[in-house]
Amino acid sequence: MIAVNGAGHGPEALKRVMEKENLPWRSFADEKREIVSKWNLSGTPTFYAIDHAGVIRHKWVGAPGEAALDLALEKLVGEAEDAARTETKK
Amino acid sequence: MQRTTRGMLAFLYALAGAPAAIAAQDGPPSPAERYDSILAEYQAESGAFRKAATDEERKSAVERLDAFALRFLELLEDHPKDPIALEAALQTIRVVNSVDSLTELTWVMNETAFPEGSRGEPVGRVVAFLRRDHLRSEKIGPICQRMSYGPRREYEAFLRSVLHTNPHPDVRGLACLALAQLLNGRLLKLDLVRDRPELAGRVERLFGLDRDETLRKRDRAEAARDVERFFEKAESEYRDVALPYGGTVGERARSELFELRHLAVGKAAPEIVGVDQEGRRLELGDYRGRVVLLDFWQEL
Repeated sequence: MIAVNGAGHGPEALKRVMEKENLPWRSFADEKREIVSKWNLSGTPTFYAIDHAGVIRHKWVGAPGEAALDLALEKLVGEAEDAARTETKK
Repeated sequence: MQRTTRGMLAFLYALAGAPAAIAAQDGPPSPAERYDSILAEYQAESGAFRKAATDEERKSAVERLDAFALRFLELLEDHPKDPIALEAALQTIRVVNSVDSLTELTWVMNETAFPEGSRGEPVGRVVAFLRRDHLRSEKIGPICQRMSYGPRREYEAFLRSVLHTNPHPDVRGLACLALAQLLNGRLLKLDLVRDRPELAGRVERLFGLDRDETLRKRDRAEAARDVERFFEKAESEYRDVALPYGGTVGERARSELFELRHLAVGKAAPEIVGVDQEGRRLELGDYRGRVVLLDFWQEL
């Protein structure tokens, strides 16, 4: 998972926030709000599930719950593995 | 709480200048004074949710905020012809939206205790007031803009009426954009509960949606085209109308259309290039070949 923080922090401020909240992943520090502006962020959390080919496959505005996220990601990971297997066979 | 309230009122009166304050205390508060004091109390109360540490505290914080919707509503119903009534209407809607949003947050954060969400009654009554006394007013633009936030059917009906009957293009522009955002928000909310039928009931009760909508009997593609048409209408007919918070209707509509057309299921994700919390370069494209969950988040 990679994250985009929507609060307009620079890297140092974001690092402090993430250490305080104990968040282990990498997050974009969108200081000038260019990313959230381009992606038209209306509220957090907003999730996009992107497959191995870079295509948006799911979008959730709001928290859909871990089960929904896990289910969707499992399916996409399965597809990615199938694709990798097909490639190595070629 | 009482002591704090009186302390707050004393502070506000001191700002206004002592003689005026003394005169005001002789009789009942004017509508404007009543409005100011309710607003001050509301603002004092709004930090409570963030400070809450338990399910019960969060539930209680939300319910205390909800009470303010009724207080603003009663003020405008007591003095519908006073100029402050329209301000009180805006605050009623603002409080309802805030309570709805925090209620949804407790569905995620809480395990044991959940607030009911803003009671429908203030929404119905404030919209009835607006419809009766201000449908054609040139001042209801900001109120229409606030109705974009919660997919309540009273908001939808009102915005449609404004779009059809209000003679001021600035107001119609804000109503058109708000309607598109409301309908889009509803679609996205229904997407969210699609995989969680236990949540569907809560969402229905909170926003007054129909069971057939939550079961998606209506065609999603058709609903999405509706949304797109309203954004297109906002962009073409009301491009230069100013938004209350900066920018124009046209600019906002264009961002929304970009999102609808390019940040949708089935589209290639745009590139993201930036730095992470360690200052290291980070690009979405680095992850090609792997599945990515992109999480837009914010600390409370």
